[in-house]
Amino acid sequence: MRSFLLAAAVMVSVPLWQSPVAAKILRVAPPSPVVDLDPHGPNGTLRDTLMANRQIYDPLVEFNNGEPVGRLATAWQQPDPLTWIFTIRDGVKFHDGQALTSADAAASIERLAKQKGGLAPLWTSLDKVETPDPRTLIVRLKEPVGPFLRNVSLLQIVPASSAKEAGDKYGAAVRLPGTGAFKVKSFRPGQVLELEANTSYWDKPPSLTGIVIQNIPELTGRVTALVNNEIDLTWFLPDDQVTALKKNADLTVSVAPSAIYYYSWFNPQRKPFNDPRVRQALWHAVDVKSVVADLLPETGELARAPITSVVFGYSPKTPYAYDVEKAKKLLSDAGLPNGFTTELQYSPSQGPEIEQLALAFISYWSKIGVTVTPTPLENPVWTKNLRDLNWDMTMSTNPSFTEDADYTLGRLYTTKRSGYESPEASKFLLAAQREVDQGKRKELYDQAIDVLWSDAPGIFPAELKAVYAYRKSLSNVDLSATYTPRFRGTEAR
Amino acid sequence: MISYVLRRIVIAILTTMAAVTATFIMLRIAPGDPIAVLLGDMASDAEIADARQAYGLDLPIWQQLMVYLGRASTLDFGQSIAQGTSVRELVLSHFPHTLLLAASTMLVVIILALPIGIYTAVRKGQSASHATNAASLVALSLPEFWTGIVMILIFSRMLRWLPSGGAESGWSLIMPTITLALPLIAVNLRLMSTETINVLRAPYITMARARGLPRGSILRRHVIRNALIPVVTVGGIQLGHLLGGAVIVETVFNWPGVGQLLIRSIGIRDYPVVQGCLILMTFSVIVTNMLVDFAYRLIDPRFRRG
Repeated sequence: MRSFLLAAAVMVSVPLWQSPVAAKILRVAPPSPVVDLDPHGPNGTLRDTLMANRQIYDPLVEFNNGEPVGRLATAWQQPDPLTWIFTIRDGVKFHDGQALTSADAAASIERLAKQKGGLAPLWTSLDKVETPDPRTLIVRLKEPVGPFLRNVSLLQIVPASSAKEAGDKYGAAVRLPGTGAFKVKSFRPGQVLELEANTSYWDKPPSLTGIVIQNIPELTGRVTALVNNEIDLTWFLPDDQVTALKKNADLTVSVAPSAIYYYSWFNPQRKPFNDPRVRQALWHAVDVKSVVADLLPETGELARAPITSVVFGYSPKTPYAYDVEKAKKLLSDAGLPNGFTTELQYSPSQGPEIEQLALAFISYWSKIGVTVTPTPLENPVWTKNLRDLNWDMTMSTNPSFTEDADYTLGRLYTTKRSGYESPEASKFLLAAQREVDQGKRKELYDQAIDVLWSDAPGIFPAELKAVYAYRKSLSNVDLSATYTPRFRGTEAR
Repeated sequence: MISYVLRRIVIAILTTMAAVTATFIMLRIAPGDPIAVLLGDMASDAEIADARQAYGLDLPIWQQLMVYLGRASTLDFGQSIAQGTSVRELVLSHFPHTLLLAASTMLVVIILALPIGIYTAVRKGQSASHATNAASLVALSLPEFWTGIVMILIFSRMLRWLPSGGAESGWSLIMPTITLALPLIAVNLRLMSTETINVLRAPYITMARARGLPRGSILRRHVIRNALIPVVTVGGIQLGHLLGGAVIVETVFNWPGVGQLLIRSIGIRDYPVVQGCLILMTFSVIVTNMLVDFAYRLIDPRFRRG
């Protein structure tokens, strides 16, 4: 009793519990905190930063079901492979009242391109931008960029004056107005971001009056907050939670295709993984289909390519058969009839059920004489080892952020980033990177995936599903494949 | 007295510097790289090298330390690598929450542990005292993450009385406070009880009884004051720890204090922020220790002479 009296006494010093449901405010808890709002900063590839930015800013072009749709650009054309001309939408105003012109788009491209990290690597081929008049933007490239419009869809537009004011500063120290459906009301980095509807939005005004994006770091906390009506929406939930939440009558659980896939790479720079037969043997040795069905029944699906089905360039191949005899033969052909000893690195935070997945693989490998030590590592250590190619085998998940094969295949298998390099795969991948005809690009990726699938730089066990759980009062929730939903169309009852 | 205080302050500053140096070196030789985490797997090696230089991480550790200590002496603790904001502002913006949680926890501990401790000492051997001892043994053994999650399950998920986390209202303070307070109550209660029993056996208490002093007066003026000294020492250390941020409890209950900031920053190797949190922790422990020393002098006049 005394502790309650005391608690009551302490409560006097802090504001009382706010009423849980205000007028059409969407309360969201993403899996990780929003640390800054700079769309061009080093955190630009963090999913939750992009998610927040997608409410505040607009890009020139957006993709809808794989097709480009004009946002701040009303039209675009490509007179030659190195030139793109955009017509900038008239009558758009930034949150600070300035009118949008081509100079703003040009300044945004320049600001992003000269930054390091984040989304800047998508703009390494930029030569220069020109603005012949306030409605026309010309982007000139040093070499053709196949996924150019995809890259443009991740470029958020800010006012030229604000970009100039920010100078060399990037990250949380910078606040830039956008043109988006919501504007920033308050922001405590890493904690709470409050957005309010932009009533003078150039497009259909949002139905929500505001959004509160809060940080709940623990999964249990996020789920409890959802069940208790403290938040309306969260995502990236593991299988056991999906099963439990589906039974809750107040909630909707939506499972949609995602651009995120699992990989378990071999380091071809190290013996014996330089021999493709060893890599194939290890793939054949695992009953991947059963493992995925057992560990990720709701949230995963057996992969048929090193990218997922929603990504441009996807071309499904036949999954590797579970064949222990074949695996043993491949190993002995490679001169390792008695197997060998190696390690598998992973970081427990890098994927759902990753530890169980790693251990399942390891137990299958033991049956062909390959002894593997599981090596769980803290995220910064795992990341550093990955970059330094300081691993025999490493397992993780990876999103195709632009939803184009170039982001994943073009980046990982042409630069030794994965330790893997094949002249044949590189030929197709680099050609696809520079090809501007999207039909031809698709064919090139089909050929590249053929090489990658049979050469096995890694095992590609599963493509993951995007899992969103939200209160029944919400409708039109954007089930983004990269966990970066836009809320301008979301409605709340 | 003034020379004593000055001496303590000088020692405090030297201790802080030693702690800063030790943690600075340990952090940097720990595996993992803040720049690789920050720039992600898309960045080229050249970009990584550039960023390392920009943050001064390319210098030898001792040189980085000199630069850091030089700036820290002017209370400039650098910028967060991940967020680009001032570490001082970042840490200080999280500190009020930690302070509030530490204060409410210590308050609960004092209000509950001391009277119950004295009660069990006086009723030594009776069933009430056995029950309290058993309960405090259980409370002492409860790990914080377990108590925290179980409380969330019971009070927010099943009963829906309290919010599961955050710091939006006073209600959010209740569960983290109880989680932190339970084991501390157990420790302090047992300590208070043991000390009271010891003092009750002392010759001067027998003497006081023989003089015919009333029981209440003996307890108040002789027993409690003497038994309190070790409890103040332990309580001071506990308060120092609480002020440095309760890492586990702040994470479980999403309480936006220094502990949560620390754990998030360690996870991305944001060296300057980790360093800033550790300095605050060191400082809290040192300051509370000093206050405890001063408190002795209030409780027990014998310390004033020494």
